[in-house]
Amino acid sequence: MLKIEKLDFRYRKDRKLFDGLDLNLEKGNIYGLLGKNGAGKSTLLKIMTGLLYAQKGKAELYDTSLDKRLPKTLKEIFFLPEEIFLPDFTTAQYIDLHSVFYDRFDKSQMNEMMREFEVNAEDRLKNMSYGQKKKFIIAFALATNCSLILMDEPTNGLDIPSKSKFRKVVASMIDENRSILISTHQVRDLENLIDPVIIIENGKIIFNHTIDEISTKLNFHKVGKGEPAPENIIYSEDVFGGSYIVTANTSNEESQVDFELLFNAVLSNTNGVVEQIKNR
Amino acid sequence: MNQIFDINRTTALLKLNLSLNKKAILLAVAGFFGFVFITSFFVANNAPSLLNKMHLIFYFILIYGGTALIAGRSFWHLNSTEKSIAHLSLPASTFEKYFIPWLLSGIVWIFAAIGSYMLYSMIINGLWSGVMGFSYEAFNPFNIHMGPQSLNEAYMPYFLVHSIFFLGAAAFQKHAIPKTLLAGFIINSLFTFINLLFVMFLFGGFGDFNLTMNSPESWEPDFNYFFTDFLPRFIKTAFVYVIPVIFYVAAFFKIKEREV
Repeated sequence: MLKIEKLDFRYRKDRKLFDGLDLNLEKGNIYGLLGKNGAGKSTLLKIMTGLLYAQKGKAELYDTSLDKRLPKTLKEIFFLPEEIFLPDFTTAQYIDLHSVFYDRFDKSQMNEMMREFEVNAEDRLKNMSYGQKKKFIIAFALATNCSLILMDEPTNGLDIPSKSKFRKVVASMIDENRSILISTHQVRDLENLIDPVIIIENGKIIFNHTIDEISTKLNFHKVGKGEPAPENIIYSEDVFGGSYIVTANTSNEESQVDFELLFNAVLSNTNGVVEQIKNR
Repeated sequence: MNQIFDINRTTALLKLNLSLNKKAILLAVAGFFGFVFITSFFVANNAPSLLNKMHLIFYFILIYGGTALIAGRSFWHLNSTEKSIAHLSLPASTFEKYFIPWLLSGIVWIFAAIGSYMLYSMIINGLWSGVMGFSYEAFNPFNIHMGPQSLNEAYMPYFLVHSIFFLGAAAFQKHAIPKTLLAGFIINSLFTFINLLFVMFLFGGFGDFNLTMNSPESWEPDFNYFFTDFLPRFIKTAFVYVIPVIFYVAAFFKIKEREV
């Protein structure tokens, strides 16, 4: 569906943000995009929407270049940035004026999600709290039924019940006709939701694997002080009272994936983690 | 569905643009007419013979000031990253996103300004003659007498002014109107400076060019033709027809190249 090949991008002449980045996104997945601050997650999402132009390489949706900003590609992508702008409309006005641009917009889905998120249909957007605004635009994004929905830190500003509702709503909306890509630092908010996991570092995608691959090839443990360390350690980090450890999963049984630990393990021992996952 | 221009998409974008801008435009127009009303009240009381002249001045202020203001705000929805993302990712073509503000600030505005000024003048004059017993001739923009000058001359720079502020709005992300004015001042100053340099190099100084500036009939015929016939026509054609088109094309590419 979305194809990025050999993408080069830089904001400043002396620093390349992306250096020959390749990425393919297929339908039917909720991708999790992880990376350190400044790794280029938001920039990548903007390039995927055609809001930034790549200096080299190509970014295409259904074989149409994204930097042409053609209506047929824009109506297949909805980008939900971290900081949102909503004009001084009522929710109903916003929906009426914007939904016409999306062929597959479903008003009943929108109303249902607004009820789920407890967003009042009569409120003015300007008077809403940040969290309310965010829930409204998340509902709108999902109701567009675009092929690809890109979300940058969608759970920022959401209260705890809303985060769980977000997970529920997103999980219920995914089907074989669309994909969602969520860029986040708050991996705990999205546990049991994102699959596959993509990690970006030093201008490249260094990790792109499904939860099934990760959980059958890696084990995530916490070992107390003085306890014997397991074998086949790929990564370990000391914490208060012991250490967190990532080992090779030799049992072929699925383990519970710890996203934070996985992220740290990939950043410090990319080859070790990737080789273990590819190991058959 | 056409990817450059589609009437349904354009209509939807027009509705969105009108909804986004109507409050600001209505407030500005209401403020303007409030000011005209107060001023005309004093003029009508103290110098009624100047009332029509006052209307004429305010009328052109409304047309030119309005188009500068609205054209200068044409791309206000691109003046921050968040707004730019919302607008640029909207499924409409770049041409449509360019065309709607152009249409509203350039074409719709001039008709709205003419109509609203006529309506205002008729209502106020009617009120005054009805309530206060004064009777003034209502100001009719289609019946303006400008002396020996053709009325068309007064409207000719309209698209030049519009294109300048429209390009400014496309080029400057924030504070487009003051930046456009400043840029205009700088460009004008540079142009004057280059002209002076040109004169210096060509004539070796600013002294006597053996010309009597105020009596062109005594100039050399070729010189006379160049300065009194060709050059004014050239400048008029350039400023009225050519430069606005160049500025409009430049504004389109500015919008097309805009990133967030």
